[in-house]
Amino acid sequence: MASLTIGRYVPYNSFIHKMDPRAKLFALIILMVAIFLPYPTYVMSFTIQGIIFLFGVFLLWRSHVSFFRVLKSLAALWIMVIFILIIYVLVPRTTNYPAFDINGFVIYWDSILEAARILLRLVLMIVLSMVLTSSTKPLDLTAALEWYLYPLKLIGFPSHIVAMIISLALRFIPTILDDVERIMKAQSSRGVDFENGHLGTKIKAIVSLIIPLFVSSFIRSDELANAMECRGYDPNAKRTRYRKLHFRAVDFIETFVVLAIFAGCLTLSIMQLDAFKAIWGITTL
Amino acid sequence: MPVKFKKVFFTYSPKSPFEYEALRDINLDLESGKFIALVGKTGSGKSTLVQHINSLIHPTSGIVDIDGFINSGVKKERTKDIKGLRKHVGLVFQFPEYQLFEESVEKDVAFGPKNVGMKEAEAIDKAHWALEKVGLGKSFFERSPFELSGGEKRKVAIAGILAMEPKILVVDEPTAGLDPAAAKDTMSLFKKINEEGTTVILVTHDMDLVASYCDEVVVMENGKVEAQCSPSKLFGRDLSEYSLQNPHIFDFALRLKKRGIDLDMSSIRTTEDLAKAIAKRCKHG
Amino acid sequence: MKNILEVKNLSYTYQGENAEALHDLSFSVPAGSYVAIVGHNGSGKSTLAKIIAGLCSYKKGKVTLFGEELNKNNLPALRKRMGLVFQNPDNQFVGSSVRDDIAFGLENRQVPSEKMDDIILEYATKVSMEKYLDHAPENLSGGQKQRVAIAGVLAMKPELIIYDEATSMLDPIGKKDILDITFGLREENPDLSVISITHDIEEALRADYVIVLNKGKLVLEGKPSEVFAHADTLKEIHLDAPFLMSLIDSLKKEGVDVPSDVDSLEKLEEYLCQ
Repeated sequence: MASLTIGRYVPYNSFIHKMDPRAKLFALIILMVAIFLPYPTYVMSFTIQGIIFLFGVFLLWRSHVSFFRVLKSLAALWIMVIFILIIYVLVPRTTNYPAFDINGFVIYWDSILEAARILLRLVLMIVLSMVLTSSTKPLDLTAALEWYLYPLKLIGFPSHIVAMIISLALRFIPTILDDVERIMKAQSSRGVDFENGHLGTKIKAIVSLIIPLFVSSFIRSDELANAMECRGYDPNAKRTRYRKLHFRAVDFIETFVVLAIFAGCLTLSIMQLDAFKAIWGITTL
Repeated sequence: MPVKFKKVFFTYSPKSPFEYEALRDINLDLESGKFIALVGKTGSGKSTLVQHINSLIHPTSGIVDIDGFINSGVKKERTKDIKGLRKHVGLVFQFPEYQLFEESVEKDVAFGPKNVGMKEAEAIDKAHWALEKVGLGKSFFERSPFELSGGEKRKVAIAGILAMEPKILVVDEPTAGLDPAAAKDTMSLFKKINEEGTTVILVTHDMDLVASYCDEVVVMENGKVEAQCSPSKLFGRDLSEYSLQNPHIFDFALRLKKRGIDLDMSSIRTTEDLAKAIAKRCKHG
Repeated sequence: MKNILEVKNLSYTYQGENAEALHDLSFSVPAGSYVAIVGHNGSGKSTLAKIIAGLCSYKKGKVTLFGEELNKNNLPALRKRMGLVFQNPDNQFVGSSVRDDIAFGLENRQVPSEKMDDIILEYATKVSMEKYLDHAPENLSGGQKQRVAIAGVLAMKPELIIYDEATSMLDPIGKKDILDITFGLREENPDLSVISITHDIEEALRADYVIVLNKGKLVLEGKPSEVFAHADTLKEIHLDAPFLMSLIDSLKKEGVDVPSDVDSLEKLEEYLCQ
């Protein structure tokens, strides 16, 4: 279960925690796009990723997310890493920069660099998302999401219902994880082995977990629906809002900084500008 | 001495912000063949303690010896025969009806026995035997467990553990949510099983159950064992120091004692006993 | 006195089932009383709660709430005047924290957000949960969650609170807390009516009025001392008599005569110490 709690909210009183979730969500999306824009050379990519990475590290530090937790969540990525390495490095490409030649099997520099670029993107995505999820209460995040979905209401999209569904899902994640643990223990004491065994027994083990989990979740949702109805919830009625979002000066500054970074990245990307060549005249890969 | 705890400590999520020491230096001998109650308020460590008996969790340090099966803080010392242990110790969790998943009652009950190595036919036989034992006759065998009433579902779940013929049966709050008649039924079943030679360990908040069914009671508080004695000895004093309530009978006897009517509490087990003791005092005094 | 709830000749059968869950049930609840409805699982008491809450619509009989016959059209309005607390503490906790959960009902009633913090604090204090306002449900005990549920209901200023086995999943301390809070509320506000569907006989003993159901039918009704005097009838339907009654019963068998006006353990203690 530990891996599932890595991105969870950690209460602190940092300025990042206090920022408007809408500003934070906007920053995350914009920076992600900046990371994924195509840049003319690898070195340019790495430079930009490096700048954003440093920015991310700064945010992590200011929002009191422990670096240990970040490393732990990155460690969970190793399967991904191997997969990417296999695809990009071992599948032969034809370019002019061979790096190694192992008995005629050639690995090219740009395969390695491409794999590195993708890995860096992943790492950045995780770091930035962790800043957001560790410094923002799920409920505030939902409120931000609802705010962004608000224009869709005009075309009949039930953004308030979607937001309620998301916040209920978030509310019940810990409860359902408890259910998972309890059912696993109950089935283990009936002799189920969730770790070892061949495919057949493993499938049976999973079934003995999944079915009771579904049954109890259905009971929960049924009772929850009744309770909500009795407490006067009507999805189509107007509701007031307890948690109000406040966009303050710090949020404007943050949004401005992020937009500035984005504008820079976008310009470099659209013009396919190689800053190293343009300024110092160095040709890079 | 089938179950022996030696210097057992247990900590949840060690070295994390959520670290929590649930058991502290538990030294405990639980004798064979007895009906033992484990009491304490919510969070006192009772459930954590009993999960050690089934090796569902391992001590952070210390040793639990269950009739020769070892559950230890040191991995190498732990028994390899986990299935043997799970067959030896049956653990019925709170609200066990949430572990049912098979399409028929008999299949569900046979699931445990099959997991610990019984052949299909033998497991079904055992299932029938266990179902009869909990009071569910032939007409139930082929039915789906999901169409039964709450009380019947619980009986099926209990049968699922009994079918493995455990030598030690641990039951966690078996009467929670049941109405008084069903609760009485369930407790009489455990009493019968105990009389047939199985050690029964009952985890409960309900002191009335302890007073009427158990030979011995273990009191836990803050992860420590605070007392181990006979129920009447324990209930002869005020239990509010452990945040527990004395059973009604003893509570009333204690109230009379404060007013100068001293009754011999060691002989009291039921309301009738209490009435007899009071009548005796009244006639003599 | 005005009746807050009147049930007349109510019968109910679940879809796809033959047996009636409720059969020709009639009773009334006077405003400001604490009524305990006891019976076994399957006695129909939960069905009754669902009908009163408007979660099941009935066809046979008549249910009158606050003087109006319950139907689809007036249900939302009637619901505003009553609150329900259900059995499972987890499944009625809607918010991600105590604060948000109490706010949920206020949001539904369109209470202006500026006023919410004060209301939340006021009602959280009433159930002694003011120190836990920012706690998430997974860090609260069952009893604490039920207290929050009560706060959420109270914040709606209901005239009637219905407990549908609200204490049956709690430990003894949690149970005692809920009952103490409830009786305290009634002292504070004598107009508040409570209907408690329960199988806790000791709780029923403290009620003003007890209704005993068995197999969908009303078996006994009256003051607790009257109802629980029918030891044989209770035994027949496998209900335990409260400790007080069974002790008096046993004492009488032992030749200790207890006067009939002894209706609490305190009085019995007083009598025995004479």
